[in-house]
Amino acid sequence: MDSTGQHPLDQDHLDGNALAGALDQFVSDLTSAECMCAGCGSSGPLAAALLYTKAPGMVLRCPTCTAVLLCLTDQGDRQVLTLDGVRHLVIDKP
Amino acid sequence: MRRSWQVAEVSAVRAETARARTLRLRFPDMVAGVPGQHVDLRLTADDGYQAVRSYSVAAWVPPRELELTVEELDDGEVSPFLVDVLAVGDQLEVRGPVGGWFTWTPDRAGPLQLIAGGSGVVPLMAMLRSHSEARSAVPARLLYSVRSPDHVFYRGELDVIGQEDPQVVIDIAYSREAPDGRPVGRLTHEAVTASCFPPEDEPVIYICGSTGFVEAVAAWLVDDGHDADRIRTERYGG
Ligand SMILES: Cc1cc2nc3c(=O)[nH]c(=O)nc-3n(C[C@H](O)[C@H](O)[C@H](O)COP(=O)(O)OP(=O)(O)OC[C@H]3O[C@@H](n4cnc5c(N)ncnc54)[C@H](O)[C@@H]3O)c2cc1C
Ligand SMILES: [Zn+2]
Repeated sequence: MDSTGQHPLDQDHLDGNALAGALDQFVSDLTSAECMCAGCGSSGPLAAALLYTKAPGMVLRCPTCTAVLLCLTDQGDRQVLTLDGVRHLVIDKP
Repeated sequence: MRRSWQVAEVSAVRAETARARTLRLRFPDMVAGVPGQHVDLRLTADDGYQAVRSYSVAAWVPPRELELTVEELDDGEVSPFLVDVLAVGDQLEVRGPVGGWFTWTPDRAGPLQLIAGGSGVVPLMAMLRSHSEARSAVPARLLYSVRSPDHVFYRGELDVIGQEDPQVVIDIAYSREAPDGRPVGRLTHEAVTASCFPPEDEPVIYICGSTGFVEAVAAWLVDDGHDADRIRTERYGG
């Protein structure tokens, strides 16, 4: 998985860079973490995946196979982070 | 690292074009970061409705300030307010600076290739400013695609960097209207190839702009034989 994929069917997405603010509250810059897609096995930084923000919450999709990697939804004073499509995250030590 | 929203004050504003404005924000404490990062702004309406938008940092002004440049979009919810309404002394909720992947610092090896579509020039300008301040010996090129000469951000400063820094080449491509003697038209694969370092130079490449622009240019560069691992992208939406 890399950041260069073309997705001509829709322009209605950003990329994982824009997730940095929302994830910053968990750990410093999680968007640089290497994410392996549970669907197709490709790996790349979360920043290079495709971010859909017009869904309820934020949905991050694999740029190789478009499977959903993770979702972050706001539920009032709590937030739910689901990681169904993530096999693993490799996070640099600070 | 700050983990939550804080209040910053608009300390200066400067028009870049008829529809874009640079905002200088002053933070309560020290603020530092690296070129390529962005902040999130949160606006709250009187009825409690909130909107969050991301804006790249254009310049770092230590110790407590940074600059953003915002372009107004027709029918935009937030950008017309930031460009036309916000005034010096007003306060904004800010989160960040954040982001660690779409970043460049002068210690990164390899020629630096920057490619901007419209307001996508903002984080690339932060990189170019850092390149200049560090007097980096790394060769750098900026390919900047704009609609017309009136849409160019940071015009004077880009001219100075292009003329005075022998390591930097600035190439502006005009899509709708060009100065006399310059070609006009949508950015093509050939034009991108011609303006960029060739794959054998192994440049590190940063592409920023609307989602369609970024994906088209990235695909051309991969076609040309650039290694996808050396290409970093930031999609602004659209
Ligand atoms: C990481 C990141 C950094 C960004 N940095 C900057 C920056 O430095 N300067 C800047 O001006 N903007 C930047 N943006 C874009 C910015 O976040 C907003 O999307 C933009 O200002 C529009 O917000 P709005 O509320 O005015 O428009 P909205 O009300 O959100 O949208 C209005 C209409 O414009 C379309 N639209 C949204 N974004 C774009 C776009 N980029 N190009 C064309 N059409 C679009 C929408 O689909 C919609 O139809 C950045 C975005 C991201 C993700
Ligand atoms: Zn996948």
